[in-house]
Amino acid sequence: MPIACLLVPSFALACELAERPSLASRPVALADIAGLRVEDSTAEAARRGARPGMTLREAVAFCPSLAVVTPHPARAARAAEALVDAMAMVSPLVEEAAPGTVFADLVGLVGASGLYPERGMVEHAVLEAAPRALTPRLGVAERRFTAYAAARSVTAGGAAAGEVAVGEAPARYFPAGAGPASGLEVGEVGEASVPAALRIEPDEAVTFLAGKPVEWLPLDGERRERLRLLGIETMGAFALLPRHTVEAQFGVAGGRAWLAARGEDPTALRPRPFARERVIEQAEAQPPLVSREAVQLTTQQLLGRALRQPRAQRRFVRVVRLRAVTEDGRLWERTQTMKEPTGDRERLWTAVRPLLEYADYPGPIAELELELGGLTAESGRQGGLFVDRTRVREQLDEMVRHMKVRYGQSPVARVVDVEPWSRIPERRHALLEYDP
Amino acid sequence: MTDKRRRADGLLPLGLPVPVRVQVDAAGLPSTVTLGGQQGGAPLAVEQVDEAWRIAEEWWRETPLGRTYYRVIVDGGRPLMLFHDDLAASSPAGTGTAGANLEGDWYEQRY
Repeated sequence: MPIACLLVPSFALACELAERPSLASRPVALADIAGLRVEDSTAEAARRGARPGMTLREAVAFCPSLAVVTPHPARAARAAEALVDAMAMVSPLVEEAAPGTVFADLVGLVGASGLYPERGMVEHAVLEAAPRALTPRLGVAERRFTAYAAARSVTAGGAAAGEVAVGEAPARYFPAGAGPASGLEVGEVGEASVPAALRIEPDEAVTFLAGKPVEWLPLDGERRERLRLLGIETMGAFALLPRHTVEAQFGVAGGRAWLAARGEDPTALRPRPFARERVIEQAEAQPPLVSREAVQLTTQQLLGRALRQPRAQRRFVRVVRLRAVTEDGRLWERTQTMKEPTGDRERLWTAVRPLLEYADYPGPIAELELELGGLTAESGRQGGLFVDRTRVREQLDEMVRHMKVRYGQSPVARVVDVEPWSRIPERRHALLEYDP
Repeated sequence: MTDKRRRADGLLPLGLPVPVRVQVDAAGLPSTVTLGGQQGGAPLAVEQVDEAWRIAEEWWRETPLGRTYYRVIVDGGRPLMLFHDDLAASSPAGTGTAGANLEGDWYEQRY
C-alpha cells in the first residue's frame, strides 16, 4: 500500500515566512499566541541561540538581528486546508495527521491500470497542487512512517537531510520539475522554495531509515530523552535492539516505534470523511461583528443555508463545527458533536447556541464558517439503547400514576419469574401489579 | 385489578389452563377438541398426536397433581397442547371409553 506524506516542517512559522518572503535571509522566530515566548525558530535563528521555549527578550539578547513574527492561526488553518486539498487532488483517502502533515493512500493510483501510469506523476501532481510558497516536501513509501521520514529528509533545493550515519543513498530523489512529467515552475521566492519529492522502495526502507535520528520516531519527549540517555541516536541502532526489550522499556508505543524504525510501521491511514459527508457555509462580515447577538444571527443564517444545501437534504448531522476568524487573523473554533444525529434546525440550533453565548472571541469577527459534518445517509432515527429506555420508563410511570388516580388501581402489570424451573406451566411466571 | 385467579400474594399466574371439551378414541387419545371461550365453536378433529407425557407432582401433599399432556395437531394444521387431569377424572386418560365426553377433565394450556 503506497502512502504519500506531504510535509511542511515548522508549519506555523512556514506560513508566516510564506507571507513575508523578505525575511527568508534573516534569523526569524515565531512568537507564541500570548506574545511572550519563542514558539518556533528558523535554523539560522536556532544556530544563533534563539530557541523555542525561551522568552522573546532572551532570544533577542542572543540574536540581536532576530525578526519576530506573530502567529496568524487563521492563515495557518487556510494553508493546512490547501495542503489537504492538494493531496485530495490525487487520492480520495487523505488524513491530516497534524497541520502541515498530510498523508494519502495511493493504492490503485499508480501503475498501468491506475490514474498515473508512470512513476513520479503522482508526486508531480501533488506538488503542483500544493501551495509552493510553503515549500512542501513529499515522501512516498510503502509504510506511513517511512513516507514521513522520506518527506522529512527532503530539503528545499534537493539534498536529503537528517543523515546521522550516512548509509548508501538508495532512494530516488528528484526535485519537482525534474520528474518524469516535468513542467513545474520554480517557486516565486527563488530556488530555495523549489519543492521536491522522495520515493523509498520497500526493499530500500531499512537502509534509508537506518541513518535517521530517533527524534523523528513517533515517541513522546520522555521516551526520546531516555533513548538519548541510552546513547541510541539513530533508527538503525534502535532497530537492532530486540523487540521485547524495547517493549519492556517503552511499552506499546515503543514496539510501534521499533517497527517503524524497521520500515514496518503498522499504523493505518485514518482518512477524513469524504467531502460529500459535510457541507460548509461561510459569511464575511464587513464591518466585523462585535456583538454576540450579531454573531448568533449570522450563525443562524448560516445554519439555515447549510441545511438547505442539496447535500444536507434528508440527512442527519452528527457534528457541527464553528469557526470564526478575527479581523487580525486570529482563530476561534468550536466543535459540537450531537448526542444523536438530527436534521432538525431547532435541535441543531439548541446545540450550537451555547457555544456562541459563552464564547470568548479573540476579537471582532471578520469571517464566520459553519460546517455540518458526519452527514448520515439515514432519514430515520435510531433510538439509544439506554437513554430512550429511561425516558420511556419515566413517561410510563407518569401515565400509570394518572390512571391509578383515575381508576383506583394500576392497569399495568409486569411479568415476573416465580418458579421458572417448574414442570407446571402456570407456576412459572405471573403478573405483578406495576406500581410506580 | 380484582381477579379471582389472583393468588394470595397478589400475583396473577400466567398460562393458566383453559377448560376444553375433548372426545377420546378407543386408545384414550384425543380425537376431537372443542375449544372454550372466544375460541369456541365447532369441534376440531385431531389429525395427529405428536407426543404424550405424564407429570406427577406434589404427591406428598393433600392435593396432589397428575396430568397427562398431549401435543396434538388439529384440523388445519394448528398445534395445541392439551392435558388431562388424571386425578380429577372419573376415568383416567388412556382407559376411557371411546367417544366419551370428558368435559371438566381436559384443558388446553401453553406449555
